[in-house]
Amino acid sequence: MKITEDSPPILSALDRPNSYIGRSLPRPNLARLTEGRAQYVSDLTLPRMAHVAFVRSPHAHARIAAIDTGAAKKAPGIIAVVTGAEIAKVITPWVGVLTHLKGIKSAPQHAIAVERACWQGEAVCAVVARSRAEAEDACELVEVTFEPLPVVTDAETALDADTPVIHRELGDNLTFERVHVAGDPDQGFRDADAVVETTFVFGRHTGVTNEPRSIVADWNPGDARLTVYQGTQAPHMMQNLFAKHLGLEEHQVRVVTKDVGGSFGIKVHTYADEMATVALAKLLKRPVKFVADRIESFVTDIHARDHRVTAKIGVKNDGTITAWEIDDLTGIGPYSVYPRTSGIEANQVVNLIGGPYTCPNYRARARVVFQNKNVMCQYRAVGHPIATAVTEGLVELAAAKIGMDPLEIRRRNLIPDDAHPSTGPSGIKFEALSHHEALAHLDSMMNYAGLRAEQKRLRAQGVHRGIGFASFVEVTNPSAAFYGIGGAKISAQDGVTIRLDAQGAIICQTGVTEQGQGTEAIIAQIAASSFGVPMERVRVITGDTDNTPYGGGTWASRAAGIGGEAAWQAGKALRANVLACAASILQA
Amino acid sequence: MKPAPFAYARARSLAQAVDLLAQDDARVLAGGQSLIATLNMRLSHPALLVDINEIDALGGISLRNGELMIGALTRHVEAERSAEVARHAPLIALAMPHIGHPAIRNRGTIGGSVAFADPAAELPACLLALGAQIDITGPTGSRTVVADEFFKDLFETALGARDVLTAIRVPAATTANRVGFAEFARRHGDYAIAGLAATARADGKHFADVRLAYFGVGSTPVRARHAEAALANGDVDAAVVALVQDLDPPDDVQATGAVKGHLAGVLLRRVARQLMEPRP
Amino acid sequence: MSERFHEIAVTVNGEEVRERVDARKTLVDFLRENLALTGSHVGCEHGVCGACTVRVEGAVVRGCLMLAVQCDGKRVETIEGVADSAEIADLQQAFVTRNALQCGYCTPGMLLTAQELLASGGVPSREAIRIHLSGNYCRCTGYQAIVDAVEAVAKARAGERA
Repeated sequence: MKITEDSPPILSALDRPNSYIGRSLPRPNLARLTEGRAQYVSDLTLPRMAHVAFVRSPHAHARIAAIDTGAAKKAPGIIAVVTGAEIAKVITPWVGVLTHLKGIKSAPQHAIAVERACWQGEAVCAVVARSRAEAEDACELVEVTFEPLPVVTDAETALDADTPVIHRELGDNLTFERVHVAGDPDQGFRDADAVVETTFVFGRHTGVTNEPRSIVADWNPGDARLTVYQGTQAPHMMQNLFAKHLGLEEHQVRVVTKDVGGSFGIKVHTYADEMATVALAKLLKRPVKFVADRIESFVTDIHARDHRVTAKIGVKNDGTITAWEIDDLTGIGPYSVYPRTSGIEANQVVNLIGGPYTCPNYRARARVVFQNKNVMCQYRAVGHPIATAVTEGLVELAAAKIGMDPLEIRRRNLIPDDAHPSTGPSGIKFEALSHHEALAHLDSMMNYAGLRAEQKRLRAQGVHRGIGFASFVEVTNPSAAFYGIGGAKISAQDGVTIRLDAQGAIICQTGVTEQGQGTEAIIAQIAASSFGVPMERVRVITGDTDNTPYGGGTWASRAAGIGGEAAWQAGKALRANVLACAASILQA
Repeated sequence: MKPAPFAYARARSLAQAVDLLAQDDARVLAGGQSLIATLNMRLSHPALLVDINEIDALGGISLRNGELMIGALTRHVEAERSAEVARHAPLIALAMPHIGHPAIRNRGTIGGSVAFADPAAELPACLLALGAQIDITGPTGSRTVVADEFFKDLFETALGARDVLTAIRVPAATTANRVGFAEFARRHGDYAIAGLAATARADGKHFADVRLAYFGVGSTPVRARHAEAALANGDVDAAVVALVQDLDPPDDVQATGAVKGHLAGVLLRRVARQLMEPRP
Repeated sequence: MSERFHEIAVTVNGEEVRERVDARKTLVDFLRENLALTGSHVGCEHGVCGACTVRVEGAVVRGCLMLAVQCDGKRVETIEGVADSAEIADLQQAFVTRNALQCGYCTPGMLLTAQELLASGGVPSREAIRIHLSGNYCRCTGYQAIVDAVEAVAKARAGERA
């Protein structure tokens, strides 16, 4: 007699007890967020805390001839009115350049503008008061004598001979230029049966976090310690920068980040008004709070993606792409943002054009130019939207030009799955990719043939449906090659310190941070799985430079890859320690 | 974004409100859904806010003498849920769900919306389409202004600095009345990119008294009189063509004048279809 | 009579509170600063984002578009009070289960607004849910999970009553 089982159980590692990786679970830190018991920096009050509001330039470019603060200082509730020249005694300016972006240049940016305002919205004077409302009242009493200067607001003409140079000492308005040639693009275009050329224009946008940028700085002269509560993605980076520009040592600075009402990359940069707030706390020896209001956010949160890209693709009738060429012009603000620089987005565009395709012939020129507009830097997806839109747009145009199905042209050009490790046309290294397998899955999952038939049928009725594809490679979990080698003190490493408490709970301290994307949850899932306890017994501590290992925080999706890996290793190491200890006690 | 300082007084009666408004730079505070936003942004620095929310005489919805009277302090949500508005002013009932969002409608008032007269707002256009009467009380007494004469220019109405809008009155709808309403907005509840409120009287196979009131197309709601005449003849295509004589929308942050002009035509076709439906 | 500063008595989450306020202070700032009820958030200060949503006399309103002085003698409820009363326990649980929040900043406003919709009973369509929540911005989730959570609670409540 044969005994057959109807459905033999298939067990995997995911089925053993306390196995949370790969499961969809409620995040452990959500309850307080649904009860109104979160702790956003904008919620924080400290004893004797003062509020700062800024007088901001109404001009895109103007010399600050004089600032009369007499009336403002006498207004009700006012604690101090501080100009750029005065705050410069407490905090040094910074320059947003990195050595690995060859030739990048920028001018020193002050926490509060000293001689000139270089964009509409730049802070020119700080008013500190017992309430934000009173600070705003006194801002209206500050009299600034501006002498308007010629403005540069068109990236296309920023480098023309007769366009004013914003920073004369730099010689021109060019922040950064990168030229890259790979293979033989000229030959590639000669070999093509069809060449398509077009221009892509990307409008400026910004991330618009629901909670605006918020910071509370507290300098305690008795301890000679600075504590900054900030909705930042990178507390250790900010710890280093506050120390550097205020003449302190890192161990004198603590950065604390609890709940953050959205960031998306907006809150990973250094902002002049936040630096000014920290400097004011040191100057006034009491806590100072700054929360950007919504109008301030629109004129001072970093903008991004202001690019004009002219692009060309060469293609043979059999669908083979023979050459890529782009000319990318990025119009930033008057300063390269610190410390990551405003050259990174353009640099990424050059790195990522040509995507996961085999064509090795590529020419790119990227220029980044200064303008008298709000500062620009990168947020969510750094350069990928531009690079992918351009690359995939060209592929679609090429397909249309030669009358080939868009999925088929990709099939014929994607690097074969078994050809890795390989190198992209920009020199970027691909270790292991599987675009062909993905494409095959997509084709069948979406019933591509069926959709195309439906599209044709509907078009006959005057209904136009679009079917679009994009294949790309996403850069995540970067190494120090991204920022560190250029001189930015942004850690590419991250760590998790894990300990077992006397009651059997696990405490994980980590340098990666949470802005709502689920960092606390995944660290808990991983630590619980690698050590072997229920998730309810895991506590995760993030966002505190005093109490977490030195790390890079959140950017480029690294919290899971790097922080998570650290949590996994730490959990296993703790488990080994515990077992060794237990063995000794039990004399096993 | 905190307002500049101001004094505040709560009026207990209409007479007291008019009195308080005699002060320089005094503004009426009703729902506050537009006013407080402008104060937060310091676009306005009034010295005194006169809160009229406690004046009972300004509330209520009632039918009398063939007219539906809606008190100025009627909250949008009350009008939205009112059986009387649904029955006697179906055009207003159609427009109400498009006004802002639930939280806005819980506080915002009919009177406030009409007095503020945002060119992209729904109610001013409805009043224009209904040939409504607007009751006002001021320092010299009470008066009535018809909708066609009430909306003068951008945020400018027949209301003076010391006037209080007390009620609106619209002719109660009969079975022969037809109404139509449509708007384009990016997000439900936003100010319209362009919108149309329309009324007509069915007269056999034709329409009489066609009133087409566009909003979001100029500094005030605009009657499209050439289009009205064409539509009265039952010719929708001609009415759409005639719009170019009636409307010259400016570009604004939401859309270009050309886009608004195009949308006006699309709205007309949709609303014309609604007008052709007999009332249930 | 026409003063800048006023004494007000407001019942907040069932507790009577007496304070002297500047007429220009908005309700949400009063709650956050005078009473340390920071669960209601400030996102735009002009009434479009919904983060400041609170209840006055039982109806949801924009805390940034009402003045504290206007609440003299009125009953105000914030997310803290509503949460403590367990009135929306099922909705909160559904949000957690469905991950209908990421950073959580919009969440108090979403919950109070959703609760107002659900309190009228029945199972609203997904379209009706979206329309009702159209005045509450979420910058993180993309709304799909929020609609799922609200719909699930509507169905569960209707099932309980059936």
